Amino acid sequence: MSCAKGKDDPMEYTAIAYGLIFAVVVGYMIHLRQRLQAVQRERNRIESKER
Amino acid sequence: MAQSSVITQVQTIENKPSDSYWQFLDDKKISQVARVLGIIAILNIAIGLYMALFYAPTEKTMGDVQRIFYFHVPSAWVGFLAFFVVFAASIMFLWKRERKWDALALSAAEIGVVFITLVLITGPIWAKQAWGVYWVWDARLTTSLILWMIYIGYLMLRSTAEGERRARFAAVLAIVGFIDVPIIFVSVQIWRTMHPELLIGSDGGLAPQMTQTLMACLLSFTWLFAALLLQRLRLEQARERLNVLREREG
Repeated sequence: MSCAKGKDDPMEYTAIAYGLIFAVVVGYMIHLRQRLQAVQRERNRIESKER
Repeated sequence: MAQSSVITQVQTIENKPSDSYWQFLDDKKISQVARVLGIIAILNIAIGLYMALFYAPTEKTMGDVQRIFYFHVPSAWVGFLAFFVVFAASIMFLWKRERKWDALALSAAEIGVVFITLVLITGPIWAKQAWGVYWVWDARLTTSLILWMIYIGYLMLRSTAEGERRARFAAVLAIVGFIDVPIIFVSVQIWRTMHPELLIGSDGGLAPQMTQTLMACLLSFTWLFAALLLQRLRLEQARERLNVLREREG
């Protein structure tokens, strides 16, 4: 299997792949945190109402 | 109530229906464990990244684009590991009918989909350089896409229907869907495929530095998976507690 010869830099592809992995993982972590905070806020609201 | 272990005592909730029985975990402890695992994962990923970029030698035929492999393979590993957890937890749920197994399955499924998405993103980027095209309907690529679709279907099912029935249907789908994982593994042996086969420690296989780099990256992503799974479980537990409060509120 040989690398397709072209003007594209293979390292550029690697950087894009690494960047996307980083973006997806960090994005998912932030999304997870936001969802958790939203649930906790709602819980605090109901609990404070109960008191 | 003893707070010494991560899995703590059951908090009995008044008027709680038996089908949604939930053994609450100590949120503070899970959060701490997840944080420690997250820090270990970040440090390990940094080491893995250094090794992938500077320590591992450049592959002779593919060149630098082969370095994608050091994070592509760990993404696949975490995806399969996550779906194995979904499979095992779904069996436990159907057997014991305890909500905690369903929560574990759902949490792992979401993480599995994220990592298989990464596999389906990074694979074509590598393929464009190596094969000249982003995608071919090759056995391994196609079966991986099918796996991703199965678990997207699983998550969609979870978001549309409600209650115990939804959980049971989803568990059956998860168990049946897992059949695709061993098919993906053997696909490169049983079908003619363009996808490279991973050879370690044999003639024509990976160089020792490449193997070490791959192992470092595999380990780092395993830590990451554990940290994410705990965080996702915390979310599921928080939702469950919220549902109990809402039920009380009427």
